[in-house]
Amino acid sequence: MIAALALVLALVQPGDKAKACGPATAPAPATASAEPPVGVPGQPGECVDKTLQEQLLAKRRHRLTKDRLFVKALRHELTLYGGYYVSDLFDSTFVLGGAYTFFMSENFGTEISVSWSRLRTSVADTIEQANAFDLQLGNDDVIRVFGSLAWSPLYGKLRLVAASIWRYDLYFLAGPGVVVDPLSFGAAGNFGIGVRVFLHRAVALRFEVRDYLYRQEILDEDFTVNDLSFTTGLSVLLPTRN
Amino acid sequence: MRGRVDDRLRKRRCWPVAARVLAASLAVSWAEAEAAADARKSAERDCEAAEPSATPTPEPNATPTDDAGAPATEPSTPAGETITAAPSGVEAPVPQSTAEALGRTPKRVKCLDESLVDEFGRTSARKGVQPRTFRKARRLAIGISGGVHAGDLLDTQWMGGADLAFWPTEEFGFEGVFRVTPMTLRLERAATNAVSMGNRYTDGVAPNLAYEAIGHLMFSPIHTKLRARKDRIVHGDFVLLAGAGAVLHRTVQAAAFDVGMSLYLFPRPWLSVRFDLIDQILAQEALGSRRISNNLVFSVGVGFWIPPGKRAKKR
Repeated sequence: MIAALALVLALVQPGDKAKACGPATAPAPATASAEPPVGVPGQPGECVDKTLQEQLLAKRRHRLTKDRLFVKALRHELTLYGGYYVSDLFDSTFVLGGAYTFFMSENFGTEISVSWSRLRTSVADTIEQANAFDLQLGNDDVIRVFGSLAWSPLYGKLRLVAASIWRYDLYFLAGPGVVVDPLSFGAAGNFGIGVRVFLHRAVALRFEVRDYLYRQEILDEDFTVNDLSFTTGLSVLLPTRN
Repeated sequence: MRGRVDDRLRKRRCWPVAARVLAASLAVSWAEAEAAADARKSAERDCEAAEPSATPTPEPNATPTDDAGAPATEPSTPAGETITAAPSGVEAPVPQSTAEALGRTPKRVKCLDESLVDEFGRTSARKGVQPRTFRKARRLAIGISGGVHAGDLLDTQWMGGADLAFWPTEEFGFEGVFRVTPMTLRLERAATNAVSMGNRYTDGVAPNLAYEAIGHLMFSPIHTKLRARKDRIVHGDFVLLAGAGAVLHRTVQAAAFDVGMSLYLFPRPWLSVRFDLIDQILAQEALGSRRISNNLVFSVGVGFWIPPGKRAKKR
């Protein structure tokens, strides 16, 4: 995933910016002899007085690419999310959780997330009956606590049909954590990719895919498992202003 | 207008064409949408530009004056026209607004636009309608991908594959996907190893390879731009896909269905990088447990486009 992103970054030409965002075809500067001065009261071509003109120009000036409508730096994000959790050894199930993120800069943030789901399996009964013993899966509740470093290198905008333009971030995250259930042991790690769509200066919608990598033990057999989750969450950014 | 076209097509039973018209109208391209927004904003700004100088509406036979009250002998007009005051005594139409009286209702306010000078001393020019930097229409894409196949009933495993896509239009495309993934069930191993019994479900990757051949219909309603760095912008598309096919494995019964979403990024005119998230729905049976499984497939891939150098043309 990171390699794919690196490929994109490496292949995009810097000149693309000029094609996409920079001034398109700048007209040649008008010479004084060719055209009268503009914007000067009393001169041909004047339209408004100087002060008013400056105000209007400030409004009219194009935004540069460095300007962001939604600023994350030094803000806190609280998220509630839920979704679909596909367990490696067991059946897929739901997941509910919350996350707190502090953005140290526009591109980097630290996140702590807590999620809960239940262990579900449809083949365990068959296995237990065939082998005449209990798999000892224990309590069904599974709690995951993870700390992650979030990196959002891509900031974009999109438009669906004729609706308004939406801004979003594409971000990657990775970090360590623990999985609390009777079967899991040792340290765990998670990494993922997500999209944060800004609905408002203080509200965002998050779509995320995460891979949880950790170890489980069933009847003395160790497994390294990859659980995949797809979640959707609603975030509130504090302070509510950029 | 669109409705009339649709009605006519429906009456003539041209359902495919009607559907195409409807889809094309729904899938407004980025350029069209941006052009509409620019035009709207431009109009609003021009109104703003004109209204502040809205001293009371001048008399028809009066000479327009500037804010200082000095007569503007040659007031500016965007199109190079001059506003001539009506001769006294001649009945002239009363302008509807101050902007109209000053001749600033057209699309541009020349004096303002020419006063916007960038750091290189160039005057600002509106971008207007921007062509797409990457066109998919009537192009073929050959791709390879790899990722994770998270089984609902079975284990999570790696996945690799290749795809061949053709896009007749910018909005719609077809794709054939071939994937390979192992469908293992390691849970049973724990039990059978504990009692020294053999597995009913064959263990190991090689005996459990599943081959998937699935066709997708793709719909690309959203064009997007991503800023990678201060000087780099990547264009991309969000693509919805759905399809059906076959998964060849002993646990799979009947057909398999895919529903998902992809993000395509276009770093080069001939190259795309895609991220796929697909829900694969199929009937599976393992160890006597039969159910409709929702397997999650997440993959990253690259695609090579043919012809390679096709770019957008200015509209």
